[in-house]
Amino acid sequence: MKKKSIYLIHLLLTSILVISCSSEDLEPTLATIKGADSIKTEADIQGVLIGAVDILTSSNWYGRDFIIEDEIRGTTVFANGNSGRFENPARYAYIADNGLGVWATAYDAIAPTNIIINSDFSEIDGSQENMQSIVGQAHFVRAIAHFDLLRNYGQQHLGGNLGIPIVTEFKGEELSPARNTVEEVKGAIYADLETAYNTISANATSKQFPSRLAAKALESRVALYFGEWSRAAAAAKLVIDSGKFSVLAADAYVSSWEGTNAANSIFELAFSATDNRGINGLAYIYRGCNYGDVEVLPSVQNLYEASDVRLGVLGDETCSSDVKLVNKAKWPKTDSQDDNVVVLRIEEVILNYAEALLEQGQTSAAILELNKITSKRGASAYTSVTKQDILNERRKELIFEGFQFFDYQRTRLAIPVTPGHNNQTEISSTDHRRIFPIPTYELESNANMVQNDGY
Amino acid sequence: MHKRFSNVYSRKNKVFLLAHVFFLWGGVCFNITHAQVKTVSGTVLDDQEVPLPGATVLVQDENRGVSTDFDGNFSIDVSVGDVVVVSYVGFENQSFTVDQRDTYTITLQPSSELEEVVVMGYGTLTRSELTGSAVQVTSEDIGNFPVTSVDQILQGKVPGLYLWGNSGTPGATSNVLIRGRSSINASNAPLYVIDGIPINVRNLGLGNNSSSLSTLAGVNATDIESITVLKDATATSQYGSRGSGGVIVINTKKSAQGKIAINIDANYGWSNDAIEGPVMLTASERRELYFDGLFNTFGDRNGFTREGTEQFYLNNIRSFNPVYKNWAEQGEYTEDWADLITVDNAPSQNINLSARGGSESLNFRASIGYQSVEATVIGSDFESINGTLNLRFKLSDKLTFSTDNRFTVLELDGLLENSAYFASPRTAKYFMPPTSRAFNEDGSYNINDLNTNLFHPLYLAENDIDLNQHFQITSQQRLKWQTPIENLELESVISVDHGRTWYRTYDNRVHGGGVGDQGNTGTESAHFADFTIQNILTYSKRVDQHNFRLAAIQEFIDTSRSWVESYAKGFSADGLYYLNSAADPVGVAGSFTDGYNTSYKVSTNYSYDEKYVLNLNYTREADSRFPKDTRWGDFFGAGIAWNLERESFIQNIDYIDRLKLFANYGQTGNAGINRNTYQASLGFGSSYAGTAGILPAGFGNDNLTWEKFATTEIGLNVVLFRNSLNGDIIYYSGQTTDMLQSVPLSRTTSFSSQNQNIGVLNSSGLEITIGGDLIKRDDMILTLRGSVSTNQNEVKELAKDGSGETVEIIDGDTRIVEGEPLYQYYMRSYAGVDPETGVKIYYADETKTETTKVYGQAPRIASDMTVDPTLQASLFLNVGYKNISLSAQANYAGGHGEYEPWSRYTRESHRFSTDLFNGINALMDRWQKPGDITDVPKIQHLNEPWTTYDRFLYEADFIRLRDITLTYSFNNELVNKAGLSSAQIYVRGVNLYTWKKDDRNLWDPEFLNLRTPPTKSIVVGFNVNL
Repeated sequence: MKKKSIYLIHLLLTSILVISCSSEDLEPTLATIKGADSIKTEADIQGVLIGAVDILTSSNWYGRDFIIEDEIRGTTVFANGNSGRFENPARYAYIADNGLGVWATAYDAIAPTNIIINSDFSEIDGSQENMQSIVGQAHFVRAIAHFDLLRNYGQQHLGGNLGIPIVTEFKGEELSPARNTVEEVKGAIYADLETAYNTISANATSKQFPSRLAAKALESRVALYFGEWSRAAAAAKLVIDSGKFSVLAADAYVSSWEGTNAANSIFELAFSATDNRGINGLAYIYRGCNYGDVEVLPSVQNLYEASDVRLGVLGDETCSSDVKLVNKAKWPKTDSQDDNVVVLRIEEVILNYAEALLEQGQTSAAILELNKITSKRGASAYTSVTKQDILNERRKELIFEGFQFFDYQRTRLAIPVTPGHNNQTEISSTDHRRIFPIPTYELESNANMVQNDGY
Repeated sequence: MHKRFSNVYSRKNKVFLLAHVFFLWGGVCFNITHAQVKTVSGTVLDDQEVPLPGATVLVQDENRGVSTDFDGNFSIDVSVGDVVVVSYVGFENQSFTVDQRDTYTITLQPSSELEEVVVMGYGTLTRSELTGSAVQVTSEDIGNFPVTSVDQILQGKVPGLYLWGNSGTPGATSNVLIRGRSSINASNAPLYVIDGIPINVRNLGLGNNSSSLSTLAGVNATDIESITVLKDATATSQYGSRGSGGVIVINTKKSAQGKIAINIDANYGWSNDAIEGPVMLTASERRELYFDGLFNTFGDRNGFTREGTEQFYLNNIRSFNPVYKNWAEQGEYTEDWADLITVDNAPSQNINLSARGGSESLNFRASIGYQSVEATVIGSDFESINGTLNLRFKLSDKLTFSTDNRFTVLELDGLLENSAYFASPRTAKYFMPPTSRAFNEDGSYNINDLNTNLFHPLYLAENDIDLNQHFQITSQQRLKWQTPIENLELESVISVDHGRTWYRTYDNRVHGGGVGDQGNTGTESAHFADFTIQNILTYSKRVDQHNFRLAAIQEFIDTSRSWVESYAKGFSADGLYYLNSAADPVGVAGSFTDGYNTSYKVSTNYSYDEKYVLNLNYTREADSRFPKDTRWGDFFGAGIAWNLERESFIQNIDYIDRLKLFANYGQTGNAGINRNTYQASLGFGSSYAGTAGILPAGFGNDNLTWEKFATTEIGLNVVLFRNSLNGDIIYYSGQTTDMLQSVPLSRTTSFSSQNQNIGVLNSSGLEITIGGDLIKRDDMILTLRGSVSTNQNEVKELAKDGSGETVEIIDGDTRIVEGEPLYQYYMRSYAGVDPETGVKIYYADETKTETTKVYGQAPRIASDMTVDPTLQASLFLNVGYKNISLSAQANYAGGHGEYEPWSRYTRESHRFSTDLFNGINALMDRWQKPGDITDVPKIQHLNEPWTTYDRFLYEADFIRLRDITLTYSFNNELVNKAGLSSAQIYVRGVNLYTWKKDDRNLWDPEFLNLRTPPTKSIVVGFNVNL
C-alpha cells in the first residue's frame, strides 16, 4: 500500500507540474524599470523633468567636458598631460572618431522633454496648472540642449548654414533626421524660450530648476551669440530689472563658489555628497595631482589689477616637486567634488547687456553696466569702453566657466598663440577646427547626416 | 484496482508464461524442424555477477529470441546443437551451443570502447547509437587537473572547442567557443549542464573591474566522472533556445554500491607566468630616450647638439621633470618593478578526499576538497572548499530516490584587472617609471616620492582590500520509478541552486585612490536562486533487431538574482575597514532580475540491428526574455547513422571494428541576450537635488524573438585493428537567421540602438581526428592522437539603417560587414618610419603603394585576420611501460590576430614612455638620424594621442605544451600490504612551453592586456585508493 501511494503522489505531482506552466507565468519581473506607458500622474511628469535636468549634470556636459572643452581651446588654460585628458581639443586635433560627447548627452536630455511636452494632459492626474509650468521648464531644457549642440557642431560662424537636427518628438516618425539650418535651429530655440517664459509659473523660484527669469537670461545669451543686439538687450534688461539677483560683493566673491543658492545665481545645477561626478568632475580636473590636467597659463595673472579680488580665483599647487598655477576657487572642493555648477548668473547677463548696449551705440549705458561689476571686484571703473574691453571684462569675470572660446567663435576673431599652450599655431576665423566634427557614430547610423567641412 | 502482474504470478510462473507465449509465437511463425525441441532456461550475469535484465538471448540460425527478465533469467525453446547468442549493450557477445544441459549461466564481459556509453543531456547513448559528433572526456583523462575552474580542463581536448581564459588570476572565468561564433549580439557561450540540470555559468565576482570568479570554480575536477561536449544539432536541439553555442554536459561521480572505497588525492605545485612578457626600460635606457626626445624636439629651435642636451636640460630644469638631475648623484639606480610585483613560484595546494560505497538499497558518495592557489602577482590568492554528498536509496524494486548535493565556499583576494588602473600591480609593472624608488632609506615603502600618478603596488597590496567571497549550495532530488508498464520509467527531478556572493573593498587613507576620501570602503552582496523541475518519461522496447527508445521531458526553470551595494568614505583611523566606521555614506544601489524558461521535449532513438540508427528530437520552449507574442519557439533535430561494420559485407573484413557514417540536421535557438530587452521602458535610477528622476531606458521591440541556428553535419567514424587505428572526419555547416542585431539608431533619438532580428551568418568547418593504440601489450602501451579543426564564418546579411544602407558594425579596431567574416581587424596600416625624418608613415590606400604622414588621412584597411582562430590542432600522447606512464598534450590555435592595447602608454616614442610612465625596451631601436631604417619612430618630447594601427597587430598563432604528466603506479602486492588497493604518485606540468609564430608579439598569445597572464605550473602529488 505504502508503495502504491508513493507512486500516486509521484504521478500527481508530475501532472501538476507538467500542466502548470502557461505563458503568463513567464512574465519577467520589472523590478527597476517600468513600461513606457506608466506616466499617469503629475508626480510622474515631475519625475521626467527631474530626469531631464539631471542629464545637464553629466560629465560630458556641465559636469565637466562642455565647460573644459571651451576653456581649453582658448588662451587661459592648457592641458598638462598629467592623465592625458583634453589634449585633443587643446591641440585642435579633435577627430570624428573621438566619441559622441555632448552630442549624445544633449539629445538624451531632449528625449524626456519631448515626453513631457507631447503628453496628453487630459489623461494625467494632477493640477493642470502645475503641469503646464513643468512643461515650460521642459521647453527650457530643450532650448539649452539645442543651443549647446549648435554651439559645438553648427556652422553658423564659419559661413555655413547647417545646424543640428531639431528633435521635437520622442520615438517619432523620423528616426534619422537631417541637419536643420542654423536659422531653423535658432528659431526653435527662441520659440522654446518664449514658451518657457510664458508658462513657467512665477512660483517656480528654485534656482536649481529652470525659472521664468532663467529663460530670459538664457535668451540674452543666445541673442548675443547671434549678434541680435536689441533682443539680447531686452531680455537682459528684464532679468536685471526684476531685482531678484544681485552682483556678488567683493569680499564674498571667492568664497561664494563654495556655497549654494548665492544671490547672483539664476540657474545652477545641484550636486551633493552622494550625487556628484567625482573624479570626472570639474574640481578634479582643475586641480589635484592625479588628474589636474587643466593648468592655468602664467600670463593669465597679468589680466588682473593687483587689487582685483578675482585674482583670488588663481592659486599655486604643488605636486611632487612641480608647482603649477591652477583654478583654486571655482568649484573648490577637490575632495568631495560636490559644488553646484552655476549655469546662469546675473554678472553674465549684465555683461551681455553691456555688450548689446555698446553695439547699439549706447556707450554710456554700457559703461554703467560694466561698472556694476568692477565696483564689486576691487577693479578700477571704466570711463570709456570698447568692444575689446568688454571681451576682456568677460574673460576676467567668467574665467574657467566655459565662455571664452564661444566668445572668440561668435566674434569671429582669430585665436592667438599663447606661450605654454598645447596649440602653437594661430587659429584663423575660417579654420574648420573651430567647430567639432559630427561624431562617427552618428554618421554611420544616420544616412541623412552630413559631416562638417574639413573632417 | 487490479493486482499487479508481478504480484499475481510468482517469478517462476511469469517466466513460464512468457516462455509459453514465445513458444506459441515461435510455433506459429517459424517452422520448427528440429525434432528434439526442449526448453532451456538460464541466467545472464555481468562480470560482477550482477543479473542483466533485458539481455537478448537469440537462437542464431533461426533469428528468434527472448529477453531476460528483471532477474536476468530467460527461458527459450531450442534444439540440441543450436547456437544461442547472448548479447547486451556494452558487453561482448557470448554464444553457447545447446547440449544435454537444460540450464545455463552466461557471464558477459564488458566490451572495449566500441560500446562506450556517452552521456548526453537527458540520457545516454552508446557509440553505435550516436548520430552526431559528441566528444566525451572521462575522469581518467582528467585526473586531478590543477585548474581552479573546471572548464579549463577542456582546453585542447575537444576538436572544435576553443577556450581562452579571461585572466591567469586563479578562479577566473573563461571564454569558450564551440565551432566558432554563431551570433553577434547574443551570447556565443555554450550551455553548461551539470547532472542534467542546465546551470548559469557566469562571473560571480562583484566589484567594478575586479578579478572575475567563475561559477565553475565551485566544482572539483576529482568529482567529475565525465564531460561530454555536444556540438551537433541532434544533441543540442534538446536544449532549444540555449543550444546554439553547443552544450557542455558535466556528469559528476555518483554513489555506487559495493565495498566502501576511499580515495585521497593531494598535490602541491609552483606556478609562474607562462611567458616572461615584455621587458621594460631600465632607468638609464629611459634617460637615454628622454634626452633623445629633448634633442629631437628642442635641439634645432634652441640651437644645441646631441651632446649639449644634458646642459640644455639642466639650464631649463624648471620646465622639465627634474628626476634625471638627481639620478646621477644617487648612483644611477634603476628599480625593477616587474620583479617587485611578481610572485615567483607561487605555491598551490590541493587535497581531495572521497568515499563511496554501500549496499544495493542504500549507497553513497561523499567528497570534500580544499584548494589554495596563490597568484603570480602580489596581493592575490584564491581558496576553495568544495564538498559533495550523494545518496541513493532503493525504496523498492521499482522506486529509487537519490539526492545529490554540492556545496562550495570560495574566497578570492583579487585585484583591479580589466583596464589600466593606477592602483593595480599589473599596471605598475608596465607603467611605473624605473626612476621611482620602491623603498626609503629605512626600508619602508616610498609612498611620498614616487613622482608619478601610479600608486605604490606593494603598499596597496598590504593595505587595501579587494575580496570576493562566495557560498553556494546545489541540491538535486531525484525520484525514479519503473512504472507498472514494462520499460516505462518516470524520473522526476527537483533542483535548487542557491548562492550568495559578498564583496568588500577598502582603499586606505594614507596612499592610493582612497586618500582624497580619507579612506573609502564598499560592500556588495548578490544572491541568486535557480530552481529547476524536470519530469522525464522514458520508454524502451526491444523487439528482435528493432530497438526503440522514447523520452518525453518537461522542464521548468525559475532563476532570480538580487543585488545591493553600498559605499562610504571618511575614516578617522587606519585599520578600520567596515561601513560602520566610515563617516560619510557615498551611495547605495540595488536591483532584482528574474527569468523563466519552460520547455517540452520529445526525443526518440530507433535502431535496427544496431546497424541503422535514427534519432529525432523536438523541443517546444518559451523564455521570458521575449515578448508574449513571440515567446514560444520550436526546435528540432534529426540524425541518421549507418554502422557499416555490422553489415555482412563488412563483417567479413576482420580489421574493421567500426565504420560509421552519419549525418544530422537540426535547428536550435539563441536567447543569450540581456533580460527585459524587448520591453520599451523607463528607468528610475537618476537622481537630482535629492529627488528621483525618470528617464527613457530601453527602446524596446515588440517583435523580438529567438535567433535561429540551423546546422547540418556529416561524418565518418572509423576504428580499425582493434583500435590500433581510429579516426573521425566531420564536416559541418550552419546558418544563423533572425540574428539579433543591435541596429544603431541616430543618437538624436536618445537611444544608441534597438535590438532587431535581422541578419544572416554562415559558419562551417572541418574536424579531423586520427589516432590509435600503436602498442598494446601487457607491459607497454602507446597511444597517439592528433586532431585538426577548422572554422570559418561569413556574414551574409546585416540590418539596413533608416535610409536603406547596409549597416556596418565598426568598433575601435574591428569591423563586421556583409560578405566578410566576423570581427575583421580594421585599422590604419603602418608603413614604417620615414628614414629621412624619423616620423611615422601610413599607407594611404588599400593597395599599399602610396604613403602619407598624416594619421587622419590614412584610411582604415581591413586585415585578413579576425579575432577568432580559424585553425586549431592538438596532439596527445600516452606512453605506459610497466608501472610508469607518461601523457602529454599540446595545442595549436592560429589564423587569428591579436591587437596590443595600451600601446600609447608603453610603446610609442613620446613622453608617456620616457617621462610620465615607462616603455618597453624595444624602444631602444628608435630612429636617431637620417638614414636609419627601423620601425620605431624618433622619440619626441610631447604627448601623442591614441593611434590605432597595425604596427601592434600580430599574428596570434601559437603552440602550447598544455599538459605533461608522469605517473608511477605502485605494484598491487606492495600496495595491498599497506592496506591500500592502489597508489600512484605523479608529477604534472601545465603550460610548460609556448611557441609564438609572430616574434614581434611580446605578450602571452592567449590574450594581450594588463591582466594576469596564464600561468605555467609544476605539480607533484599522489593518489591513493583504500
